[in-house]
Amino acid sequence: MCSGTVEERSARLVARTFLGGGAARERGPLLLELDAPEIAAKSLPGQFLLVTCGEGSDPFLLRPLAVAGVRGEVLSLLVQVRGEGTRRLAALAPGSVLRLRGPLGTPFTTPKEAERLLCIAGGVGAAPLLFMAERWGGSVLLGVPDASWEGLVHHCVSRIGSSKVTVLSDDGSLGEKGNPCSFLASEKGSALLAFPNTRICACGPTGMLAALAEALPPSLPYEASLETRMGCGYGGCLGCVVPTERGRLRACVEGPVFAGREVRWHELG
Amino acid sequence: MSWDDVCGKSNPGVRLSVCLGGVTLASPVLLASGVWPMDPSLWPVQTLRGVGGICSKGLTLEPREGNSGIRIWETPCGVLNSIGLQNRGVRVFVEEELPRMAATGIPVIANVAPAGSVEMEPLLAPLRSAGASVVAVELNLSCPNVADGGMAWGKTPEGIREAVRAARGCWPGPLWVKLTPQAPDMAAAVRAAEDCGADAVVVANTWLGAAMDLKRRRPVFDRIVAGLSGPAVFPLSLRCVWEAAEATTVPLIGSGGIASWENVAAMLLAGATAVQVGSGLFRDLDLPGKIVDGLAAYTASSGFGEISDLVGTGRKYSEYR
Repeated sequence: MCSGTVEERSARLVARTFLGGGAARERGPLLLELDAPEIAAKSLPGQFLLVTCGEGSDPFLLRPLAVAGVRGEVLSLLVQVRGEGTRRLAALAPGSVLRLRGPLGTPFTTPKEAERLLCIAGGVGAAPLLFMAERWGGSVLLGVPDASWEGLVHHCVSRIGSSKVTVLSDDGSLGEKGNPCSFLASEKGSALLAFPNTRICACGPTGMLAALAEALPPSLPYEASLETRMGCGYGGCLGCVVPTERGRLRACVEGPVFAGREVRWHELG
Repeated sequence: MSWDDVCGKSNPGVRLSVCLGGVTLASPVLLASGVWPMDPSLWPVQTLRGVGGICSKGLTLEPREGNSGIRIWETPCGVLNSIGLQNRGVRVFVEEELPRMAATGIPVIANVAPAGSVEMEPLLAPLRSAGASVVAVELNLSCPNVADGGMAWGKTPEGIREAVRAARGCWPGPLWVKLTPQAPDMAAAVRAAEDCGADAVVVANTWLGAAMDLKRRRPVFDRIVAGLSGPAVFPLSLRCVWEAAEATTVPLIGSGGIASWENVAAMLLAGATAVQVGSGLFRDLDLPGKIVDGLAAYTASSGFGEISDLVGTGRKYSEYR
């Protein structure tokens, strides 16, 4: 019978925090906190929402954003300004009402009690992993371009504690110089991976996710959350499919979290 | 949720049901082929209020994995898609998907996309065996996103005649024909469908478009072209319905860019008996319910008792002709 759990509801923006620094702070990342009790209660780490960017028909499509955390009835999202839709989203003042569709997609696998969770985040890809680490414990490797991302680092630390966050930046201006892949190849990183019962969850640029699929020891469970263009979000239009060993699968139903080694990374544009 | 719950009691004084090519539907709002999952466990329940029927994804004889590369691209007030008829094939539809869809009580219309006349019989035979679970077959002569699909047929009256005749020969039940707006003469196209036994005609499908990826200096879509839908195309679709209604007495189903009850009222006034909503659901999961609420109120305020009383009333002014 019709038992879909996806719903679309209005939600009020209760707070907007700029996490990016300097002249580019309007580009994000931004933290949006929304009063959305029903959707917050149902959301699991790795799931996402489709969010309206304002009234009217233009931009036409809703924007997919991972749930970045749930505290009580407040659900948080991280937004990086990429185009017109996210620019409008970032410009919404607290008190604005948005439409949220969700929760959508398959979440990350719940870690077993004995498992040690290592979350690997690239930039704003930290969103679902913060929710994951906050819900299930575990540590986060966070790669960012430079020190203008300090606000995101502070946000991560405030959510899960400084001892749990390792920061890497491309130019070395924040944390250690490098990125999650170069870190894992180092002595320190290899030691991290050598802990027994480690489970890897990752989200970030496609190149990073693909490189991890190559680099991580095959014995480690590895799940990656992918970002795709999205139409309906509820499994109807098949606009968001990802090429995998099991065929072309919907990012909005079978994903956005996929077993990292089943994705045909080379076929992704 | 039963079908009785589906069609809202928004305005109990107004009758919502419509008669459409041998089928009675509780509401004139159908979910267009291609935007609705075949698995009812994924259906957002709030969307079902106001829905009179659901068109399946485009069914092919064999399973298809659909198109490679980017499949969806936003445009001003619209969206281009290049899905390419990804589906599990008609046999899996009949054995697995249809029984679950039909069990919801909502009428199911099977959209079929044969690759040629020879496929018509093997494609429709499994649907015949499904009995009353399929309330109508919608012959898709309009998919722009496959090389061997019906759009080539749908562009000329001769092609439409050939396809509809073939389908009519192996489908005894209600037969709807979904035309392409790429047909240069909509009046001739709809007459061709009528002549060969269509019980209703869907006007129309997506509009052929393209997009260029400036960063990669190449077309966005692997197939270059894609189908445009969304509010951007609504005036074009309305014009097609107007022209089709001029040429035929067969019931018409308006489709293309519908995103409000006002759009649906305009389609009915132009001569459509029912409508299909597609990408409008991408923006608003409550769209069908909002449409029937708005239409019922508009019908009542116009002094009518049934939504179907509106059909064609916008054509009575001879100065428009």
